[in-house]
Amino acid sequence: MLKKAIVLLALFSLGFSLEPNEVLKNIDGQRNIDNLIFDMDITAFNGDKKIDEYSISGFLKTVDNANKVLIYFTQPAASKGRKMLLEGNYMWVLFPRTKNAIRLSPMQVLLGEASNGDVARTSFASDYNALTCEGDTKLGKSALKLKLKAKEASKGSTYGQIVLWVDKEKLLPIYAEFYTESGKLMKLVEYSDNRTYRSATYAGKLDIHDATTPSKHTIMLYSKVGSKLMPTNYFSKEYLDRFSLE
Amino acid sequence: MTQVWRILCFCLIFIAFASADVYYLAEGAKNNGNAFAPADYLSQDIVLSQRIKWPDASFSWYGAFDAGQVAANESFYSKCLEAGVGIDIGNGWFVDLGKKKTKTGVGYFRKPTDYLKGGGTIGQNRSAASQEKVSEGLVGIDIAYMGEGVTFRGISIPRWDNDQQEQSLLSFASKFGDADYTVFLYRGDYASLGLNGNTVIGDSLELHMDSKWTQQMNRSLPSGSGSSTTTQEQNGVIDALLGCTYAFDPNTSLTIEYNYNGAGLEGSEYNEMLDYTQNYGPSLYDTYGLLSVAKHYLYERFAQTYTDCKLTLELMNANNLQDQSGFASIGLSQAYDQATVSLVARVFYGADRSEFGFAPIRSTFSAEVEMFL
Repeated sequence: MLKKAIVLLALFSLGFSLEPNEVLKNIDGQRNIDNLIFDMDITAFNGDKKIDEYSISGFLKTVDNANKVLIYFTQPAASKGRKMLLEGNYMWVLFPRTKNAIRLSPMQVLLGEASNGDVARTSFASDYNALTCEGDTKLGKSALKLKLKAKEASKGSTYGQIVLWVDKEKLLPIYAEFYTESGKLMKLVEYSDNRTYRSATYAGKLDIHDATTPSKHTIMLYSKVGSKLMPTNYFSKEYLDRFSLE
Repeated sequence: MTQVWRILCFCLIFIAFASADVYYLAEGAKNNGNAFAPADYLSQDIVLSQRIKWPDASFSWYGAFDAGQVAANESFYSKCLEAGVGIDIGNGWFVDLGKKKTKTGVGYFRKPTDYLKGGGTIGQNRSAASQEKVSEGLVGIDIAYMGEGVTFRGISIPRWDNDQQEQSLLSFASKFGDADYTVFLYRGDYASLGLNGNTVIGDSLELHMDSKWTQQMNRSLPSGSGSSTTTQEQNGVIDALLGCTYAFDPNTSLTIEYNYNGAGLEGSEYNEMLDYTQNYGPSLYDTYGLLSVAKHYLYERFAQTYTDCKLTLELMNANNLQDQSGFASIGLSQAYDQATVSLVARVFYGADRSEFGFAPIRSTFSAEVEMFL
């Protein structure tokens, strides 16, 4: 994958125009981990003040180009045992010591500024078409700037448009602006702390800022990443009651 | 002797599985000794579970216990809420054997398709927030097949004693576009077909419906003289709830539900029941249960969370649309990492001759502390 990125970079340096969707696929390919399992700390801030903090364990499976995620809250104690199923805008939550799973609308985010899409997204190409790809500089780094638009079949995606900056050499995301379909800027995300698992490289830290209230931001930090095969039929609301980490 | 044995078992389980999830719940409230006012409690609940891996299957055992003291009569109580074994056979098949709580409805205030009822009700007077947590499961077998996009489930609750009814429930769940739906076939002391489902429209609106059709059931009506009640057989009874939740922003939501309660009364029958209750005094709630005597009810719930201080405000109203009586409550819940503190004030309103006008008290106030250790 790195070789492919180098070839793409070389072509771009020589003035060849790159097919934006091809670049996007390579960006996704760099980060892809099959049957991803992860532990993540999510901390929400208002300015410097910490207002919320969660630790979650997640299982992610890609089925028919769509990500399905099962999440188990491990911290704080008051939230321990909360379980969620995320599948695009299809979201269910089961609270500890209750038996009725509740369906949530995308607006009912439970993770600070982080949306369901932020937690579940490992791929841009499955939901978005890249319209343009051009050279740029972002955060002092030489970058490629891509404009993404939600595919017709993914109109229900959390965001209608994304402007994504990736490191020109490594093709890894460094910054993104997320817009609604009507073009309103919603979130700014900074990707950092790149780490490697097997052949994949992923951003270990995502700092998500609310565009309307910039003082509000949420840091998503991967504390552990791995791979585990989980049957597809476990990713259903009916399984939430049986879902545990043991 | 039985009580001693229960306490001993409880202590042994607690000592043996110190890693279990434990939470304490203390609830204080004005206690008038009736269905409207919760008693004062200090209780400890333990939830245990362990999964044992097997090459092609996994076994898990689970248990949940609640024990404590009711301050009103200073009696100690203990009960097993759930205990059993769950087997993940593989290929989407699951079997649960033992005592288990099963909730299948999707409504917020009422859930017509929550068919399986009948577990013990010690501590049922607790606040709405804790009531579900301490309800007891039923002993039986639950077999489920989860395929891709479909779930079949069969639950059988045998009759273990004379106070209990044999029950069986078959269900099929799937998706139609973005909408979930579940179809039920129930057989207990009555036979019923059920359907519930929900969907989301746009970013903010969730719609749900929860309904059942019951072949035949009994209800109480005042006799001709109006001084007693008779039992009437009712055929083809519909109990349906339609509701929605609108999220204004991630921390603010409004839920509205309408319930058509086919087993309820209206018109002259409803007036006769009010007359009977007013003149002869038996509790409507003993005869019909809470929010069940009328045919039309409306519920509203507004919730807002102030994330900076982890404080949640909750306003609720349950309204009998036939006599405009009901109850409204305001609740504040403060969350901490290891605990939550909840305060709820509830007011019952309505004319003297109305469902909630007959309520023996007009207001309650409860305070609840949950600690998670």
